[in-house]
Amino acid sequence: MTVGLVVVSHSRALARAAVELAQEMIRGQGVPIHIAAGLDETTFGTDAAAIAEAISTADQGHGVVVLMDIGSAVLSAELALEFVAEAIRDRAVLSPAPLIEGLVVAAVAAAGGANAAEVAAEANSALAAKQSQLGPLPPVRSAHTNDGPATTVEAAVLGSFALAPNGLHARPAARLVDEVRRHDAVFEARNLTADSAWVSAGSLTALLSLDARGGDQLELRVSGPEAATGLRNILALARRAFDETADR
Amino acid sequence: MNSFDVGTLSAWIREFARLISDNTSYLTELDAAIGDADHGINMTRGMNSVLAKLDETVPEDPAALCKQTAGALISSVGGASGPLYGTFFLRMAAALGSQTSVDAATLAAALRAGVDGVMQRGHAEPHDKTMVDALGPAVDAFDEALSGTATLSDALRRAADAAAEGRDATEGWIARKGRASYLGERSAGHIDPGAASAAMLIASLSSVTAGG
Repeated sequence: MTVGLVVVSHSRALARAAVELAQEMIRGQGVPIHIAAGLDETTFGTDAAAIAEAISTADQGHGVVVLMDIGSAVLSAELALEFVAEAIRDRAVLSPAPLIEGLVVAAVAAAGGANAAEVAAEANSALAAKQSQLGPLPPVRSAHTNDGPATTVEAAVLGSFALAPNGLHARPAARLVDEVRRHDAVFEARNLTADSAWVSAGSLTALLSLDARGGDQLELRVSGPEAATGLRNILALARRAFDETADR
Repeated sequence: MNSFDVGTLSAWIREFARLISDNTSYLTELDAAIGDADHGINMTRGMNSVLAKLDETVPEDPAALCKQTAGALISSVGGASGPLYGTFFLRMAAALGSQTSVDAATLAAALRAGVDGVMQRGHAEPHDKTMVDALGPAVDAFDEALSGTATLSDALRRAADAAAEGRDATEGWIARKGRASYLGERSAGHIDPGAASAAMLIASLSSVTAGG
């Protein structure tokens, strides 16, 4: 009944350690986690054939979520999907989540009986907790030395989160607008998954125009005096699934 | 020479392996400038694995040759070139079907399918400073030459020239894909290592037909 997980990394040692870390969170609960990492014990690299085998092994009929590190790991995982049986391919998800954060969260979700889409959505929002904990980055100072003194760019803070299965429908969008209006800052949003343009997050109709569905990644860009706290509060709101309790 | 059989195509793969091996440090130097300094090493390891397989199993037709080349590269290169060159040869194999003798038009279609596969796999467009910038102009030049009166070997020579020009053009560009793209403007001023090895792929195809 459990979604399988596959860890793809350039480094076999890194993948093993990541799996150990995740296993610690779900001790005793049987989530099939398989690795396809490194060309051998010590040579860095990824191998699409090995990834395909890991996906096929991890699949127990309920789908697989694949977490990857960088670069060729992604290309090899995409190619690997061409090598697995169609049924397995159709229920496999390649997760854009950061490897470690995503794997730990995905393991917990899978152990709890979540389906593949839910596990992938959880993994996708894994970075939000860290971002919210650490707050915004310092403002970026441009360092052009030949055109006068350095200037400080108006600091915009960015954050993103994955939407719950119901997407950004009217109620959560209204809740978001409400939260935006409590802060002295300019909030913009875009649907990262659909690569949409930025729209005002203070406008309900603009937000609904993003056509943001469950699992889509919504990005926020906030500037102004209360940008940092505003973003933090909205990420917290998103983590509470916009205070929607029913119909999940 | 009007067509290729599996023997000629095997000679192409062996010649490509020789070029890669002779230029290991050149490719790695290019990659050291804008990437992670492993392209030459990775490709040499990959082509050594291709050669080992070729020595062990004589493929029965051109598609089988492309398939076993793809399999060896996918499992031994390690870096992004593995899935990219692997996809190139897999798409070629699919386009070649079960033909034992590959004429110019079939070869052109198979190379085109390979390049399309690389673009799709790498989400790369022309001018992104990737192997596509050598392969794309090569297949365009090949098609154009074949639509005129060029012989197969003439057309391949033009394809190899176009690939070399495409490779050289990447020097001035800013990378938009792969690890080189992390460097932004600093990636300009260096030839893309993937375009350099891809130009060798086409050059080796041309050289096995030279004079034919």
